Parts: sequence; structure tokens; C-alpha cells
Amino acid sequence: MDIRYDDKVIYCSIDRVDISDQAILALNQGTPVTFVWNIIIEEVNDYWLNKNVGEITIARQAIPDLISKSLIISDAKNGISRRVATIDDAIEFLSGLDHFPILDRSLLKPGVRYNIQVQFHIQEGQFSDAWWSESMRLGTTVAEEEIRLP
Amino acid sequence: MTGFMRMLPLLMSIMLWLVIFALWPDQSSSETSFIVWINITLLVILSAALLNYGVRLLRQQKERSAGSGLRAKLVIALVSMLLIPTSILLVSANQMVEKGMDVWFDVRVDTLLDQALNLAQGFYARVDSDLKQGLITAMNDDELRSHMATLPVSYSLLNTRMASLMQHEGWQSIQIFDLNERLVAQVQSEGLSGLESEALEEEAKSTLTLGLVSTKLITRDNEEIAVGYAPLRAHQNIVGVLRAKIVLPTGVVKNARAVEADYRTYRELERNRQSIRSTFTHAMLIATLIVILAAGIVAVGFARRLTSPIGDLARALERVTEGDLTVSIPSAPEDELGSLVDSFNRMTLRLKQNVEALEQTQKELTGALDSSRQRQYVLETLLANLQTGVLLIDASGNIRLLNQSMRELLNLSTEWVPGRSIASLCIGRLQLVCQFYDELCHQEDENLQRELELTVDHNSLHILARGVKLSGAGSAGFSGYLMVLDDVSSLAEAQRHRAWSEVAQRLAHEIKNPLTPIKLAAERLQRRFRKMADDTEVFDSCTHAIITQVERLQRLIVDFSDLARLPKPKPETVHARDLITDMAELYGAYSRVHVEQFADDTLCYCDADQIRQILINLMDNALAATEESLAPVHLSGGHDLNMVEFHIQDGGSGISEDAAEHIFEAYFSTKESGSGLGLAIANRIADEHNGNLTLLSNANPTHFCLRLPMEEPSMEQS
Repeated sequence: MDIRYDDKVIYCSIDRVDISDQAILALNQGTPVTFVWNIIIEEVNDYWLNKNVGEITIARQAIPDLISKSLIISDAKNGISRRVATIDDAIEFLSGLDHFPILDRSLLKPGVRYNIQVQFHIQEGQFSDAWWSESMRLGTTVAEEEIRLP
Repeated sequence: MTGFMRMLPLLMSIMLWLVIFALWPDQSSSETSFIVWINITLLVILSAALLNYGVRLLRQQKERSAGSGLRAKLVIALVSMLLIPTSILLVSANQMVEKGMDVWFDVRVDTLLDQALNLAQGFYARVDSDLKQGLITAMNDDELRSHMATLPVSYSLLNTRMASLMQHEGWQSIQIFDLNERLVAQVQSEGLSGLESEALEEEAKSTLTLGLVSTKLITRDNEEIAVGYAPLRAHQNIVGVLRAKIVLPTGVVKNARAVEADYRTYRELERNRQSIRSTFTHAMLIATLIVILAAGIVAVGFARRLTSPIGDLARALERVTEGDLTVSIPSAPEDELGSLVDSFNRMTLRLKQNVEALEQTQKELTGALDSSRQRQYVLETLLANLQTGVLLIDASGNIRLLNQSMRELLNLSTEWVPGRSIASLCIGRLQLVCQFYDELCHQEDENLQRELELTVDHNSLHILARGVKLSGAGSAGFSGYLMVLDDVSSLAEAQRHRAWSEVAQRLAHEIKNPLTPIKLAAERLQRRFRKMADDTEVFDSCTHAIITQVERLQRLIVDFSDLARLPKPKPETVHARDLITDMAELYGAYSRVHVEQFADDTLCYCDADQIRQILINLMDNALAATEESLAPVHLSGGHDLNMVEFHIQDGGSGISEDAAEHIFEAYFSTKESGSGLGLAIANRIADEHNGNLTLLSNANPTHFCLRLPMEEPSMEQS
């Protein structure tokens, strides 16, 4: 994981994570697959529980079109989509984050330690952002990094 | 209930824990179905409930809780009744699902879906291929390119050609855009309703840039459109882009998408085949566990409701067994058990009433017994301390009761005990008692009183015997005879003594007065008329006889007076040895008198003069009895704890049995010249000293014993 920031925004980049064969098989067989990224930013406390500063959920979905042998990839949160011809193209889009803005810098205090944890969850089938679906999603932590702003 | 039955819940709990461990999700498994955790939770609850119930059963067995065994049997039976068919149903359902899934995911279905999908894909591929081929044909159409390259553009000719191409290729629309992405010409089959221009997509721009033919599938709500782009060249330069559109047939698209959806669903199901099976198994397991749990709860409730009255009954019975009859079971259902409880309550009430009545009776009986014991104690004490002899004889002639005074009075042998027949015991000197008893038995009157003269231990006793017949209501069912014997010897002797005293005083008074003149007259006659007598010898003999007899009469009168006016003894403590010494000195002249002194200095509380009188009387009697035979006379002293004894023995001819019975009576004498008052006076003196004079042996030797107290008797003794 690579954390970068400019004057206003904190960005996060994550290299392509390993995708299970189960997910690739599901895509091959026409099942929509949603990659859900959950990024948690916490202020680190030494002698108490960490204080939550922010939490961002990114859901990226690939819907295979078996008839045309293409895939429609989209961001489930904002609905922007495009069609790609191969599964590799879709997985490249789904399985990584590139310079993704995660937090307004003004929310972080200089000199304070912050822990950024990225959890990743693959959901097969139709994506639902209802609370019960979110509560059932148990993500796996794929990256974690501590930062301290100057 | 057997131990195995009680251990069954624990065993089942252990088995369930093993099932829990078997079902526990693998750590390596990334996803665990929520239903598994529901199952595990239910299993934990069930096994904990079983564990709790098993422990409770064992505790109840240890405490011997009433009704627990029956309750446990009912619970286990009810749960087992449901557990067995439910388990069979679970296994059967799993097998059916397994078989069903084998059918659902049959390879033929798989192949069929693949083929259907391939068919749909082939249709779309053909459309795409045809579109591309048509675009290539159109982009190479010289007429179309010449119309585009000729300026000014002849739109009528261009449109005509485009319409010709569209019709030839079967497109629904054809459009030509220039390099500035402006629509130059358009022909469409939809007519004027669809004239609005559409912006070029990214693919169109790529076609303009790269000069490649490209196609794109646009999916809308109700239709799918295949769109293709091809560059238009003139003189090797791209002058525009051709856009063609084919609207796919709605029916075909619908079928193709249905095939796709079915394929997708099928593949999803196939991928989740194991999960479906597992989910079904777990769902069935959940249902089974819920049913078993519910059945267990219902069974426990039912068993508790059913066995609660039985447990109450058992506990109440235990309390009744321990003696608590106040126990009552408050309520019970209106069924056979309720009837049983009511019967039990009535039974305990009756028992309580009976026990209270028994206790009351026992209390009364105890009171009566205590009263009877008190009366018996009083009666026994009275009889024991009564100086009167009491003898109770039942109707069959057997002794029922005999007091100590009766024994002492008659000096009865040890054979006289309750239960013995009085007829067999009344022998010898006691025959008078039997005669009195026979008279009492055979007379008609209830009471009988007689005076009996009995000789006991050489003492003549004057007994006042009274008898009563016991029969009828007053005797409380007992019939027999009560004989009461009183020793009235002293009374009789006192009365006789008093009578004799009065006679003696009267006689002494009447006789004493003339004796002195008679004696003086006889002496005067002897002095004055002796010389005048013819026969002096006869005269002397007669006067001497008168004088002698008068003197004897005077002595007799003195004895009478002594008996009548015997002075009261003035006892004091004296040395018994002195009394023996006095006797030894007095009778020292007699060689046959042998005196044996006391071994130690024994004191004696007595009037020494009166005791000397007794001893002299006894010694004189002994010497008189041995005057002819010259047999020895022994005087000796001895003592026991409280009494001093003087023994006088002689080897004379002795005293007959008959004489021995009357020897201490006044005016009874075996000697011709005796007044018969000596031993009577001696006996009276001994009595007044709280001692006694007894004849221990009437012959060989004749043995008298005088017993006197060593010390002054206390007031109580006296």
C-alpha cells in the first residue's frame, strides 16, 4: 500500500491483490462479482482504543455478458460503467486502487499517528448496500500502514 | 430408574459436544455460513440443557427426590419418541436432496445449457460479423467514397447510395460523420421519429484516429443494438466515419438473455452445489434441533405437570411416615391424580383425628396408670411399713400378696411367696391360720374376726385375725380373701398384767393386813404357850408352819406388789463387765457356776439394779434346775453391733415345749413353790429397757439370752 498526500487530499494506492480462482470462475460463468474495499482511518492511541477518524467503502463490480463475451465494469457507488472485452481487464480494474482519494487532509492533525487499514471482500452475485448485507461482509485485511503528517 | 437412563442425558450431551466439534468451521475456510453458527449455537444450548438436566437427574437420584425418576423417564421417552423419527426424517431428506442434486446437475443439462449459450453467442457473433463485413463493404464502396470526396457533396446522391447500402446490408440506420464529428448524412429505417443526432462514442473516435472497423453492443431497456464504425477514405485520407446500426430482434435477444440468465443461475448453483447441500443439511438440522428443543421443553413441562402431584404425594407420604400428620397437598388437577390427592388428604385427616384420639386416650391411660402406680406405691409403702400382717389370697387359694410384717409376725419360711397355695403352706403351728382361712371361705358373712394364740420362736403370740371376702363390683373384678393379722400380745399382756396388778394389789391389801397379826399371834403362842403344850414338838411344828407360811405369804404379797408397782427403770451407762463380776462374786460359792467375762470393756445402757434382779432370777432358776443333777451353769457375756448379750445356760432337765410357750407369762411356773412372776417381771424389765429376754433353747442346755442396748436409744427408736 502506498499512501500519498498533497495539500488537501490523502490518496491511497494498492497493488493488485490476489483474486481467488472462485471469483474468476464466477466471472467466467457469468456471475457478477463485486470487489468491496473498506478503508478505515484511525487515530492511534497508546493506552486506549483507537479513535475512528473516517471510513470509506469502495465497491467495484464486474457484470459478465456471456452473450457478447464482454464484461461491464462499474463503480457500484456512483454507477459509472464501461465495457471491457476480457476478464483480465476487469480484474485489473477491480483488484487494485490507484491514487484513490480517501480523506480530506484537514481531518488529520499534524504529528499525530494515524493507522490506515484496508479490508477487501469479494462478493459474488448482485451487490447490495443494504445494512444487513454490509453487516454480513467480513473483509480480510490486505494492507495496513501507519502515517504521521508533518 | 436405571443408572443408564439417568446417564443418558449426559451421554447425549457428550455426543452433541462431539457433533459441535465436528461442525466447527475450519479456520482456513474464508467464508462460513451463518446457518452453521446458528446450528452450533442451538447444539450448544441443547447440550448445555442436557448436561444441566443430567446433572440434576444424578443429584435427584442422590437426594432421592420424589417423582424424579418417573419425570426423567417421561422426558426421555417423549424426546426419544420425537428424536428417532426426526433423525430418520433428517437423514432421508438429506439423501433425497443428494439424489435430487445429482439429477439437477446432470451432465446433459450442463451440455444443453452450454449449447444454448453457444447458440446465443453464435447469433450475436454472426450479427457482429455481418455488421463488420457490411461496414467493410460500405467503406470500400467507390460510389459512396466519390460522393463524399466530391465537393460540394451531393446529399441526394449520397443519401440514395446510403439507403441502397442500408437496404442491402439490412441495417436499421446508417450515418456519415466528417472529421469534425459532425453528422453529414443519415439514413434510417425508422423514419422521421428518430432524427435526433447521437454523439460519437469512444470507438468512433478510435476509428477516425486509427482507421479501424469496430463494433459495439449497446444494451438498452427494451432492446439491444449492434453499432459498427468504419472509416471513409478518399485518396488514402480519412474523410469521415461511417456508423451503422442493427437493432437485434427482440425475441431473439429475449431468448438469448434468458439462456444467459439460466446459464448463469445454473453455474451459480453448480458452484454452490456443496454449499446448497450443506445449507439444506444445516437447515434441516436447525429444524430438527428446534423440534427436539421444543419437544424437550414441552416434555419437561408435561412431565413436571404430570409428576408434580406424584412428587407432592411422595413427599407428603414421607412426612406422614415421619409422623407429621398436618401435611396436606394444596391443589391438584381434576383427574385421577387429583382424586388420589383428595383421598390422601382425607386419609391424613382421618389419621390425624385417630392419632389425636389415641394420644388423648394414651394421655388418660398414662394418667390413670400414674395414679394407679401412685396408689400402688402408697399401698406397697403402707403394706411394707404396716405393723399389721396382710395376706391376700385369690379365689383359687393362691397367695397374691404378702407383706413383710406378716412374714415377721409369723416368722414365715421362704416358701411363702405369691403364687403358692396357702393350703400347702399352713402346716404345724400355722394350721390355725389355715383354719381361720377355711372358716372365712366357708362362712356366709363377708367379714370374720378371731383371736388366735400362736407360738412363734417359743414366744406365745396373741393374734387378732380379721378376714374379708373380696368379690363383686367393689373389688374391681377380683375375688379372693384378705386376711389381716395383728399382734395384740402386748395389748393382751398389758391388759392381763393390769388385771393381775389390780388383783394383786387387792389381794395384797386384803391378805397383808391379817398376816402380821397371825404371825405375831403365832410367835406369841410359841413364846407363852410352848411350856403349856402337851406335845412340844407338835406345838413347835405347827407354830413354825404358821409362821413359815405367813412369811411365804408375805413374800408372795411383796412379789404381787412388785409386779403391780414395778418401778420405772433409771438407765445409765454402766460397764457390762461389772454386772458379770457382781454375779461371779454372788455365786462364787457354787463350784458348778462358770462365769465367762466379756472379752472387752462393753458398755450397757440400763438400770443396773433391775438388770442384776433379772440375772439373779435367771441364775437362781438355773441353779434350781440343776440342784439335783449338779450340772454346770454357764454365765457369759457378748455383744453385737448395738446390743449387749447375757447368756445363761444350764444342763438341767430343761423346759417342756408347752411350758416354753408360756414361760414368760405371769403366774406361770413349773415349780411348786414358784409364784410364776419371776420371768414375767424379768421379761417386763427387759422390755422397758428396749431389750428382750428370749429362750434360745429349752433343753440341753436350757439357754436364756438377755439383750440390752449399748447406748441410749434415740427418740425415734424409743
